[in-house]
Amino acid sequence: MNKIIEAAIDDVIDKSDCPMDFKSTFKRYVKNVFNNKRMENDLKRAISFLEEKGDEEP
Amino acid sequence: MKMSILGIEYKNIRKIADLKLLFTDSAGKVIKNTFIMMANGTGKTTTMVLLKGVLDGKASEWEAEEVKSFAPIGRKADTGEFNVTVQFDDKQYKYFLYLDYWRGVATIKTTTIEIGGQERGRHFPNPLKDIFTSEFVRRFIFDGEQVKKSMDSNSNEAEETIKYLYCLDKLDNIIADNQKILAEIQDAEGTTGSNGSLSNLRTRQRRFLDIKRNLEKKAEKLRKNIEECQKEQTDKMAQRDTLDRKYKELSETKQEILKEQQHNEDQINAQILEILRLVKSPYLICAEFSERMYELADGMTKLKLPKNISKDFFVELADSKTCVCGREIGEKERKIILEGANRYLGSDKQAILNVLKSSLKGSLYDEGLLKSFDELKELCEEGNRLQTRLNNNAEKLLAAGGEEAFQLNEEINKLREKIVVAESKLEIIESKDESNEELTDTNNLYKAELEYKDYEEKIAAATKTQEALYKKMVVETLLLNIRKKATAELKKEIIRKTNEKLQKVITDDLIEVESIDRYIKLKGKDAASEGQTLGIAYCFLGTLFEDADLEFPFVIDSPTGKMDFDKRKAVADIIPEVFNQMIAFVQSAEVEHFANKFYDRPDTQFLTIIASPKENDVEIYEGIEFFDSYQRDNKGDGQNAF
Repeated sequence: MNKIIEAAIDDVIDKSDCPMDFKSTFKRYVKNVFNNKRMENDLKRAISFLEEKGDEEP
Repeated sequence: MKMSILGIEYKNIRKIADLKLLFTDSAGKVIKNTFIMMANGTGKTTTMVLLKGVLDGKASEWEAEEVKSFAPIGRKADTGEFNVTVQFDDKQYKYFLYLDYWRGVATIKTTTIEIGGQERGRHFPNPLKDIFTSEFVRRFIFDGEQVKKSMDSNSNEAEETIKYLYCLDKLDNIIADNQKILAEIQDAEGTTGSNGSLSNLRTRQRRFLDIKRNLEKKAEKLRKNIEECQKEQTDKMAQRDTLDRKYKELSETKQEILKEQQHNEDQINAQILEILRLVKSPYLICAEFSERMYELADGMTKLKLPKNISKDFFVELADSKTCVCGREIGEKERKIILEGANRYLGSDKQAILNVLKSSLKGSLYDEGLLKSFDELKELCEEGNRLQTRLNNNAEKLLAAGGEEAFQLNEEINKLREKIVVAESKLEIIESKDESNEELTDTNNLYKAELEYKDYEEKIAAATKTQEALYKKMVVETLLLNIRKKATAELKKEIIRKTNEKLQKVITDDLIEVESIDRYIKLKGKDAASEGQTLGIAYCFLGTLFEDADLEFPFVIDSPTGKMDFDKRKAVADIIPEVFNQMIAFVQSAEVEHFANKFYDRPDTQFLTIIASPKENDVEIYEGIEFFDSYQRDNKGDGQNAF
């Protein structure tokens, strides 16, 4: 995939306040979409790592 | 992955009874550059429409009338066929478009070695199955006029081209999946405690989803309509231009006036910039302002400012027997005043007041602004005179051109009106102007979207799925930020590379891309000449084609249009470098200094298609010789080059 797009995906997700598990799963999922390997369940799996509102990591 | 078009074939389509165009050599290798000269009326525009229709799949949605419009004229045929053979890396796919003129139905089928027979619909290699949308296809199969749109301030073509060629629209697919996941959760939760109000909320939310979809369809239709009208308008204007050229003197006067108008417009813009610079100094606006400012400085001197509001003032005051308010100052008060004096102006603040005072004293009025306004007035008057001369000249040209010119003029005006109406309808759908009272949640996308989101929150509250909604919002925000960041970074790189190419293409003027914000903006220039515009657009497109993940062919109708000879040469040098395969449909006027620059290139073929002496058919001639002699004999065919 395009290096600039890949770097943007890494940068935005890494700088977010989301849990680490979510970050790595979601990053992989978005990159897979760009590499045409999209699986809908992967998105559900990534979302499951998001914590409830107010419980996010600092 | 690399995509190439190996050939196209027509059977019973308009003037073509049977025609096959191959873009490979005798060994089956893809020929890098193909120039096809199709005489007027032999199917150039039809070919572009069919190619787009097959590759984006829209042909199967054509209305019956549209399908029937491809039927041969003066020849009986109930069906027609168009097929295109495409190679993705080393795999071949053949797409068939069957046209049933009797029923008005178009059907697309695909065959590959893997499939064996023909399968309904379009099939692509797995990694590409989602990307062949009409937005994507029209960015590598298009006409010269469309190229210029990336420079048009009324269009967001440049931004959209980046989005589709770099497949950033894939992020929209994730946003849609994310939305679907929330809907599934809410559906599951909703069934447990279903009630009338929840169902009501869902109905209302669905209503706004329908409104949004309808508005998007309407907007798409309007955009297509505007594009078609603009194309037709350009064609008519070119015809009018050709007609005008018959009246040499009047035509030359018109060109002179247009040149003077351009110069006048540049001068007006420069004068406005100068006035804006001058009004930033208020004392230059009028003598009274300057006098008042001088008086203020004078007053400050009389009041011994800033000295008198400094610490010294309070120290002096502490020494006095009475205060400025008339009360006596005793020991206690003296002590408090001296303690408080430290809070007042120190030397740093005094320095600011001193600078202020001296700059007020130096604010001397002069008549520079007045002169600038006078000059602007003169330039505007000159602009009006030029417009009157142009109108008079246009009337004379119209009279000289007779019925044909009047007819063309009327058609151009009607098209202009249609464009204005369609643009204003599109503006209502796409505007985000909250102060516009004309916009409602049923005629405006933004307002419908707000309503939709509002119901989304209400449903989340009713189904107790606020957490799911929150997670959906987190994911959506991340995706939107990724798109924003990726677009911004891609633009920086595209601008850098485009400017590198521009230095080679436009050598007689300093043209540099400053930014891409919906469209391409130039550094220090509001506009470029028509030839420069095409040059800039090709450098921009070339950069995108170079950097995109998928290498695809570049199919273009009238690539150079009105580009002048020098720039044609430069574009001819650039095209082979940036496009892996080019198929160009050219007019005879585009051969000189463009197509003929490829005569010595080994990896190039030249095809000429002309009407057959037999009725209602065409003939194809291969090779440079016929191609070159045809263009010499038919230079007036189509647009004239400048």
